[in-house]
Amino acid sequence: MASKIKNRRLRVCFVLEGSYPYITGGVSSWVQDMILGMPDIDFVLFSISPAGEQTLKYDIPKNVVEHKDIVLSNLPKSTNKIKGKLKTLKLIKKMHSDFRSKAHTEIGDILERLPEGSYLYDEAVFSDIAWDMIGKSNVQNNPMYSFSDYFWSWRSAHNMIFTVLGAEPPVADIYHSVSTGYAGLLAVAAKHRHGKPFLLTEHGLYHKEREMELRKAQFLRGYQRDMWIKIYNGLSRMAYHQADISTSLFEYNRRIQLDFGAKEETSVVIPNGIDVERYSSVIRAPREGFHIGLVGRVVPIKDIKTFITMSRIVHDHIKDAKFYCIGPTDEDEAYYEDCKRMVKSFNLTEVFEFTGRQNVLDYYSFLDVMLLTSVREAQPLVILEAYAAGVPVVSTKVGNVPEMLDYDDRFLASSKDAEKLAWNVKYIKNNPKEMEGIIRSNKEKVKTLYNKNDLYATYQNLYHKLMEK
Amino acid sequence: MAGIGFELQRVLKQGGMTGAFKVALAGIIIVAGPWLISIVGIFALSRFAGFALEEGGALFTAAIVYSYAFSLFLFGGLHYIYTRYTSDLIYIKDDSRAFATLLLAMIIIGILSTITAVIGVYFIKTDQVENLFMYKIFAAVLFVSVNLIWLVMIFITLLKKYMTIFLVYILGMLLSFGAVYILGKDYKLGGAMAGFSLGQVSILVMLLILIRFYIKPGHITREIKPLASYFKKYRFLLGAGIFYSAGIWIDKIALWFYTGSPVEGTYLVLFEQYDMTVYFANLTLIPGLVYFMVFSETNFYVRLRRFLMKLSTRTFTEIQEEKQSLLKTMLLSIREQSLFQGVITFGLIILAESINLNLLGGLSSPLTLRLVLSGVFFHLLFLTLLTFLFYLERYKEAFITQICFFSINFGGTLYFASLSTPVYGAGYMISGIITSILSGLYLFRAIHTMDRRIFGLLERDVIKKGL
Repeated sequence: MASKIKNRRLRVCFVLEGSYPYITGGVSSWVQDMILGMPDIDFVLFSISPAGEQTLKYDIPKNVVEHKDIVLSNLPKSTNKIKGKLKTLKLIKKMHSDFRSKAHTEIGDILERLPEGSYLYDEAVFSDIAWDMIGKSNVQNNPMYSFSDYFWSWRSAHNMIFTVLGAEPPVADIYHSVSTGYAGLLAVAAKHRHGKPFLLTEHGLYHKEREMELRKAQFLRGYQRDMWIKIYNGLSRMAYHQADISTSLFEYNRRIQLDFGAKEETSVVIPNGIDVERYSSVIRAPREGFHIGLVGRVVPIKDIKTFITMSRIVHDHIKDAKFYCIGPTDEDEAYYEDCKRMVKSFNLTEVFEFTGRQNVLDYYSFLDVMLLTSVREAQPLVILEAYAAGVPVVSTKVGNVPEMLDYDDRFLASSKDAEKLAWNVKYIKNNPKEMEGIIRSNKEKVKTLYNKNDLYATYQNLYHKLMEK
Repeated sequence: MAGIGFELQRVLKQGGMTGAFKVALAGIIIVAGPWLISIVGIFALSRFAGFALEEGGALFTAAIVYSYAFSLFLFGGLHYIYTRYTSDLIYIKDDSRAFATLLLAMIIIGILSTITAVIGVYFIKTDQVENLFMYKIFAAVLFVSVNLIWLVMIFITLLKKYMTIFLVYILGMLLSFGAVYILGKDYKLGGAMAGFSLGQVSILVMLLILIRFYIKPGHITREIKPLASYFKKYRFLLGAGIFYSAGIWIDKIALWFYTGSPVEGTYLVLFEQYDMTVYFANLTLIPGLVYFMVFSETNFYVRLRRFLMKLSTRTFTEIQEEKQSLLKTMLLSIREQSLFQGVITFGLIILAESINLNLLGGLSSPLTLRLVLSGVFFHLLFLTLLTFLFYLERYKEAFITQICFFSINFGGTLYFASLSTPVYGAGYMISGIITSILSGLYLFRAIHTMDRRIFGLLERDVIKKGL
């Protein structure tokens, strides 16, 4: 296959869900960097969005040659017919029992019968087999709640799957999905439709993140929550199993991927990387007072409220402390408003600032501590950036953070533990000499292990390896 | 008619013979009032104003029979779309739009029926009738007015003014009788035709005045587009209506032209032996129709409503239980109704010989009468099932059953008439049996898959709206 593309540029399709190029964040920045970092490769964006006509949050690099969107809220009309409806539905029934028994799901046969442009919206309801499946599943799992609620929940979950399954993937040499879920399913479908390899890169763990959100959602009733969790788990299982290579940022996540069906021999750990030179070039210019910053979007997963609570505690002990929440505030307006109210009620208005989107380098030049209060992370780039810039980090113990912070309890705290986070910040303030050595060692670690240039080379190698298969 | 069924059930629950009598009488008035009055009227004309028909009683009867037959045969399908559209307007309490639609439908059907009537009467050529032109004009007027009365009756029935309709018909037939009596003296058959037609026109005018008394019509032109859209949306209902309306006449029409004899000097043919048998047998539908209105339809409606109410709030198991209840109620109603009608049919079958001799003047044959009576029994059965299919909006299935009814009735009638010993009525009976079985199967399936279909339609609606 490699010889076939000798005379032309490699074409990689990034399959994206709820991220690049419409939403800012770790994954989106990673995708932007990857595209910019590999100018010899042509990239195609195949993105899944909840709604149409979204604003681009990134300047699309020149080597992005095509961009195709699937809008989940649109339910397109079928332009193609399903081959052998009855047999297809029977295969889907089997796939559901595979989901339940956690067995591997062979979706190839189903996809063969579902040509691009054919959507299952109607058949899923207007057929005896499918209705029987819905009914039985409801009686088994949701006997006490209204069927109507269950049906509409089922419908929203499945229609998104049907939209994805019927979508027409752009032509590419490799389909590279940056999550499981619907993007993973889309990549699986593209792999089968075009007979091209599928590379799966996961920063966090999609199904775990969704599960956490679902457990918090109060509008879900009865079995609905379990149904969604099962769907996400099933989608992840399918993606892991079907991926020709799957990567994770750190070993712990890789283990979970293996438990969910990823193949040992094709599962690799590739840590994140940053532009070490850029962040190392920051000239430190400490300012008067003590400056603590959180770099991240103002969204619940970053747990900005714990940061505010910690700020209150620190402020009691360090009178000249100042706090910065550096990141976009427009993603969850309601949450942002809540945070602002909290700052006001804690009497922190004078010392706490929501900066909005900023050039973080300006802040790394004077921040004394970079704080991360997230309830869920994979391998946060901001820690690496702060390390490279010479800013010590205090964080919650999430994802790969403990490993990144050398399991050093002086800088780690459990999620939502504002007291311990505050203690960590005070420790840094009170031990400047000791911190000098730690900062030096952190810089060295980033330079050696988390260099973005190495990351590009690794992925380029993976792409070529996949093409040679 | 489920609404009036509740009222009658309430009267019946009060108990006693008076209650039962009231219900039976009201039921007959509702389901067959105008029909019976017309029959009695025509009978009275031939009995007491026979002098007016001396020139050609057959020609007079032919004009009436052809008017009723072809008004349904040609335009019956349109009635279904018109009924559906008007029902929807009355449901949303937009009576003035419904009245405007009635006027629009009257204009359309009026034009179409006038063209048909003019062509129809043009070819009637006979020396027997002195005032042939007058006869032709009023035969055409009769055809047009019968067509328009169907529409007005549909509208006024939806308004549930049953007693008023009954009284208007009595008055109209009295006027008919009087006019035939007076005009028939001077103008003979032409005058009789004019008198009868004017009586029908008076019924039409009285019904319209009555409607206008309650409702002010909206803009007629505004209804053109939405009404036209119903033809596409409910194309299967239209098809079902066309084939049902044509199907109930096709055996008679087939026999007119295959075996019947022409009315002297005209192309109009009749086959009295079969026609009279069918007209008589059709009267036996009345008790069954009353039963259907008071019990079968009302009980079905109640259960269906309960099912629909539960659909959005109850668990899957409860929904399935309610569906089973609906199915049980339907089966029980059909069984009871069939038993009730069966007793009547069976009794009349036994008495067929005597009925033929005494009531039909020996015109028919016991075999034909028995076959047609059985056919009427099955006709009621499939009409009931067809109505339930309409309740469940299974128009495509209704359409298929009515194609079967029409085709088998037509083909069967011709086949049995072509035998060396012709058998009349067998085609009608067999078509009734097969249509009943087919409708029953469709209905059973429709109820079985009702929840799936409703959720599916909602889903489709949501998809259409892009939600």
